[in-house]
Amino acid sequence: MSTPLLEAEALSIHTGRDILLDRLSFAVNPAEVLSITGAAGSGKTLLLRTLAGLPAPGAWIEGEVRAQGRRLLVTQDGALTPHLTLGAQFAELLAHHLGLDERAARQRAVAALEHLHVSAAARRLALYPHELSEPMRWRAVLALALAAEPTVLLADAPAASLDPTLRARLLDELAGWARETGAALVLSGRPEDGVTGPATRALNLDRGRLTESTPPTETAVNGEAPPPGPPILSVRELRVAFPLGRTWRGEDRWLTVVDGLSFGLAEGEILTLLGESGSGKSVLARAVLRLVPPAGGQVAWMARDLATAPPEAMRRARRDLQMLFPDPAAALDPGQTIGAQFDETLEALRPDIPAAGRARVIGDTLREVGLPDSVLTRFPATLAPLEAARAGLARALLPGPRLLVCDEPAATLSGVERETFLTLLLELRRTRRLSLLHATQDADTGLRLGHRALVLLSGRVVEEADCATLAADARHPYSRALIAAAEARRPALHGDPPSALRPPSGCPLRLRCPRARDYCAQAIPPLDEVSPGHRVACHYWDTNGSDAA
Amino acid sequence: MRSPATDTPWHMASRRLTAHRPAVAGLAVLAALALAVPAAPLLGGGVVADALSAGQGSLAFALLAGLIGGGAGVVWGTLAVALGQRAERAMMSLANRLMGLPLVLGVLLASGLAGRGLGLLAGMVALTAAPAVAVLTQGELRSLLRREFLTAAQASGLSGRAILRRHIAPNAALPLAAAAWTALPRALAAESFASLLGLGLPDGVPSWGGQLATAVRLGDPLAVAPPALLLALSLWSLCAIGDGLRAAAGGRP
Amino acid sequence: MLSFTARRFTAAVPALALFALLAAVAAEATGHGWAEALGAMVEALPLTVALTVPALAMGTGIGALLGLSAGLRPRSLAGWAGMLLGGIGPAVPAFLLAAVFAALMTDRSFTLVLAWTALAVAPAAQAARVARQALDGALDGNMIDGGAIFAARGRGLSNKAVLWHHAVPLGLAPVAGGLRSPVITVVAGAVAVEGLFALPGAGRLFLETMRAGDAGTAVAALAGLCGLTVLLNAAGAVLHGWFDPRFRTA
Ligand code: SF4
Repeated sequence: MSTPLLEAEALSIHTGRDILLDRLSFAVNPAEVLSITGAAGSGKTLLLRTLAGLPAPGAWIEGEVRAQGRRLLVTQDGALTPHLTLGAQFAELLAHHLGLDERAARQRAVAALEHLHVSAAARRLALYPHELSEPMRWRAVLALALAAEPTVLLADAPAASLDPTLRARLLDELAGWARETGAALVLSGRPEDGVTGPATRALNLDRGRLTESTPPTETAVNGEAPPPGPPILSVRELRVAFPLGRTWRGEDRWLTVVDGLSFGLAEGEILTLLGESGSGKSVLARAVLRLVPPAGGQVAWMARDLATAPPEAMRRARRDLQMLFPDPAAALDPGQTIGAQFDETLEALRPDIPAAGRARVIGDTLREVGLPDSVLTRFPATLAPLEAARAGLARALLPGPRLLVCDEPAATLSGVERETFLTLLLELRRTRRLSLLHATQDADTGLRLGHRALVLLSGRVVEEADCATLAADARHPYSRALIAAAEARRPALHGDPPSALRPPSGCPLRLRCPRARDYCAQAIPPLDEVSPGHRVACHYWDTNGSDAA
Repeated sequence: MRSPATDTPWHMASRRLTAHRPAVAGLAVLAALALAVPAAPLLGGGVVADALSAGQGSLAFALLAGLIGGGAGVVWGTLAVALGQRAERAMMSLANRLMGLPLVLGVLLASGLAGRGLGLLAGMVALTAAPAVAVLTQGELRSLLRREFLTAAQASGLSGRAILRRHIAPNAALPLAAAAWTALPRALAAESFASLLGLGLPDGVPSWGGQLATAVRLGDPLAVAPPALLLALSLWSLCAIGDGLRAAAGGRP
Repeated sequence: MLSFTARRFTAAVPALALFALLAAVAAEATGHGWAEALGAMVEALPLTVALTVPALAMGTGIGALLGLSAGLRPRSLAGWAGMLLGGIGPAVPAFLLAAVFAALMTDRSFTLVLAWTALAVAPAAQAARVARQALDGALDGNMIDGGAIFAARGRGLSNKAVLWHHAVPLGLAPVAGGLRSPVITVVAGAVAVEGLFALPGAGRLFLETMRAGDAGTAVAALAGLCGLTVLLNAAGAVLHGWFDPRFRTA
């Protein structure tokens, strides 16, 4: 039995008024990876600061933290000092910790960056932090920490802002480093952030107390079979592009975000749009509701084209088509009470309801979403995240819609609250017989909730199937990577997503694809039918199972 | 627990304003001046009473020119946002360039060449303040227009005009007022500067700048003190209130 | 950095050419030869430069130092001075100080020192205020860049290294970035100082010729002052780029 490198014993932190952390005890052994999950505000950051020996000012600490060797903390935002080049930051850090001279520090820096799969590492040392892309910046931050050879590394929500496939790989590499060098690694994050995946031991922090982590008991699952029927919403060859200004030759340049997408949605169906940032899912969701202007194609609701609908017809359509926003609090006007905004929505969309009858509709809807009447007099800034999500749902339900377009509807929620909200959403879908168009980057939630799924990459559909098929037998490497990341396995995609301004020729995935061959650069793969209802856009979809990283 | 009625955005903004100590002090000073300046003739003669009554000219002019300049700046910035990308870029780059020049010297040039008329002076002083206000206005409006609740209002079936009236205008009011306020101290400083050099307010109109000029000409340190102190105090108060307004407006991102 | 400097100064050339052209046209229109008007301006400008540049440099430098100490050691004398200076800034524009000094001045032996002081206070106040706010923000960890300071501490660097290599430059960058308004204050203030102290610079030339109704020379002097402002702004931008690489690409 080796002695632990980091040990907390009856560690409590309080401010005099509140107890923030309550008698935490745990130990981290060499080569062990401990994950600490918790919702926002559960005290993760405070705990990691304290473990790192950098306690927050104004907090009283009781109990003991024992650590051996060098402790390093990678802070939440992963910031680098903006006015120093990467090389200078490595040099300063390694001179301080290891007494290395500049040349040795350089070598060590290059090795650390290469360990995290940074290409052309030596050249990147001359760059300033703002010249790095977001994934590259995270690699640099973590490489900086690894290069200093800590015995205890504490990482607070590492790479939380990155796409799941990138984050999962980075966390896996970090865990690999800890096992190799025998360091103790502590990863903290929200339960959705995938930090438990590479961990040898998982703890959960809830209201200041630490428990062995168990998966949430109540998970929202949609068990129903997809209902048959003709599509009520049909999208054909939809294109959305934003102008980028002119080239020097006077040609207009466009950034194409949604590129000729087609799909249909039947009554009562839940369609999942799965994709990471830049896949176009969010813009697609908004384009369906004409909240961003489409550049071409057709969106037909009940066989009526919305793109050409006059204002009156569009308003009638908006009664049927409502949206849930990723940040429900930000989607409410901070200057008006919730009640005033609900009233306004009803007035605009349901002129058939007399002013006197609105209060009843609002009251009924509030009860449906589980909010008390008292929220009506409150302002958005005073709502807790779950309350704001419920309020956003209530507003969307007010006019009596038939389709809800949900853009990451639970993005601001975490853990139990997230499941509570998604369960409520599914419940209301059933009782109100709604169709859902659900855009998300989380393959787990997306496939659990939906009947059918479209996997989007660079504004195109790369795979389409019903959710059960996709979960069991995804064929496209990108779909497989998304699912792997959601299950906290190491995704097989390498490298970073290419810039949207300079997409690669041929298959949009080819620079990251483990199966790519020469032909992938030459032609964009068409959507081929693999089996009835299952279509894949990959030249080599049948060369399965060889997705080694 | 606060009751919901005191959590209105206006209450929160005024709480943020009163939490800004310099702004509160500035408000108190301005209120005292507003009482003392009209009452100055009652004090009889003496340098202090003279300086206080000269404040009438300076402060009234600053208010006039500041309102014109602030208003012009707000209109400038708003038009830039409303007229489309190309116009916006042109109008804002003009404002930015003008902000980098000592426009207050233009005030001197105008009244030196065209004579010291009140209207011309007000117009020129307003012009020195407007570009900065325009830049602030455009920035505030741009960040407001990006916010999600406007998209949500659109999804709620509101027409463009209704969104403008019910959501954009109320949320823009306080930030734009804070932007426009910055014109007031600028106007007071510009007028005092011009009057000090004998190129400001016409001779009949008493002002702090004019009094300073006289005192300097006579080399009288005692006569310098009252207008100099009052002017410094007013400038400081106006700036402090401006900072407070900005803090009050920018409570939430 | 070198190409950034070159770009900044070449960007000022069109404005300078425009001012020269306007001055020449105005001089011709009022019956002077343009050479005569511009010549008078060129003769007078060096004194204005000698007034503004040292005042700006000293004021900003001292102000920034005091502001930094206000952020680091709020209880020390320099800290108090920094806080006071930053707080009273708007109350002491250069022209006001110039008027007070001019009235107090009994003999002319300290003219230049008083002129510099009158001009330097406003930039010093601005620098003190900005430096203190930026440093407070950086050390608090509330601002975007504040994360960088805490992150550096998390990496285990010593407090001293974090302070001098990471926090202080972060406090100075916005001082350099906000030089535009002190530049204008100082150039306009120089006109007041030259007028009140009877110093024969471009500002005084501007005032005198205008009082005499000589519009041609007045416009030429004004063009000179504007040109000086543009060049000082360019220098300020270069300084900003030196402290903050993010600004170099802009
Ligand atoms: S087409 Fe080629 S690059 Fe694209 S996913 Fe298939 S194998 Fe990979």
